[in-house]
Amino acid sequence: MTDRTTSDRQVVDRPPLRATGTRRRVPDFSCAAGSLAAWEHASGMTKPSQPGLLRRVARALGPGLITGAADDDPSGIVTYSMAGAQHGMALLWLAWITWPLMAAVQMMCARIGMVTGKGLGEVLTLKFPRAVVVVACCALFLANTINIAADLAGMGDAASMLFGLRPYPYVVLFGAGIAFAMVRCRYALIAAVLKWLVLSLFAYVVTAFLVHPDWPEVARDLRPDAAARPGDVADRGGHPRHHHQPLSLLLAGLAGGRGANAARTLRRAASAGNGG
Amino acid sequence: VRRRPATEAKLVDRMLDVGAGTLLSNLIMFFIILTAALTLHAQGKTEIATSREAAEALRPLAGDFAVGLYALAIIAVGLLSIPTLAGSAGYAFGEALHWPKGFDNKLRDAVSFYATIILSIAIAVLIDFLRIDPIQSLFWSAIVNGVLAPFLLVGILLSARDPRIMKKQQSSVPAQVIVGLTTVAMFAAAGVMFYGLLQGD
Repeated sequence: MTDRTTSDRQVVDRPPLRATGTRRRVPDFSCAAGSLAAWEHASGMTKPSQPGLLRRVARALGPGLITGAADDDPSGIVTYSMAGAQHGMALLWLAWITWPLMAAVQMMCARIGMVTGKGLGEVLTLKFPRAVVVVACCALFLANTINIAADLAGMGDAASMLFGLRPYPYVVLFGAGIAFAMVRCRYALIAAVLKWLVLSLFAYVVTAFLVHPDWPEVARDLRPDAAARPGDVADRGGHPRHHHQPLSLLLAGLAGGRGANAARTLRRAASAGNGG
Repeated sequence: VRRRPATEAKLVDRMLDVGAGTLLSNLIMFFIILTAALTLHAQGKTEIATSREAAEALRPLAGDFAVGLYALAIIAVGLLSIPTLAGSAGYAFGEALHWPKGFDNKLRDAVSFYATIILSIAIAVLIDFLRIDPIQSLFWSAIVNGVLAPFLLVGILLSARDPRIMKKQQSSVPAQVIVGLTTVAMFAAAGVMFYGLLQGD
């Protein structure tokens, strides 16, 4: 902290290093859908360095802001919707309590990548037997594949709502299209355009304000103990309770949604580190 | 070639970036739960069985276009997150087994890497053909991830505090404590889930 000016200057004084680093690294990232942030970081580094803390902050914030919104994938959106529909505001506290946790996990991943210059898979082989790491890779493959299946199903359903037909043709179309683009194209370029569509998620923010909630009550429900009495909360509106997804499943689902983000950002964070 | 250690300035930059990104991600999560609570839950609609029902949460803003807005958001985030999911598995295997990897390679130069990615997406498409209620499958995938994540976190934590691996730039003690607590919390969530399943309720 005390030598911020020094470190600032360090960064500013070395544009050639950054430029060569970028040139060497960009091909690595060029299409890595798994390293969208890395690609953005890398491309951000090609801009001439500007002195000044404010500009540095602005530049640092750029990629994270949008990729942060993209972290809420289709399965996350549905799980959060289910949580809100079933339990009202009783689970709201999870949203703020998981922020520092996620931030710490992602920062740790980023740090590993930046310091070692290796991806997480390789780092883990330094620490654990290779067989253990391969088992973990298989688990990651399985979990990600199920996650992809779920995301594709959600997208197919959404497209069929929008354009008609059954969801399956869209599932095949999206799946084949993404696979083809990942192998043949520079997906990062496609993603750089697509990410702006993610701003449509702000519709939820706008809607929340439009319906004029009782904000003091919202604030009261930010306390974790609100979840300890989900029954009260569910009954508060006087509605009959339907067959619910058990609370334990929802909790795990929410944690899992956050966990999926963590797992997904591992690669991104670690590879982004390579640029540093 | 010896690597230059990561500069403190760059680490701080990344911390800002990660902090802002995760804040936004959680802010969106917060508002999705809140909006669903204020609309669906308030109208007594506590069970979401279809995408159309989930989209109804956006009706106060978009009226009849709620379905379109919801579909746009779902498809956009899906197109962004699926490559990340498939790619991260390809990279993980590639790094652990020293395959040629990375999207700069041509298909024939990194066959295993690309095969992993294509296989993952192909299996996912097949799973969708086997059944499945999309809402339920979205939900279950979050749970599978919830079980895997704590184990990965243990590996990350042990690596990040190893001075040899981290070239004496280990994570700070507060960071280790927070990630440790996160790991415990996620193990607890997984345990609660299995308890709930065994109870069969």
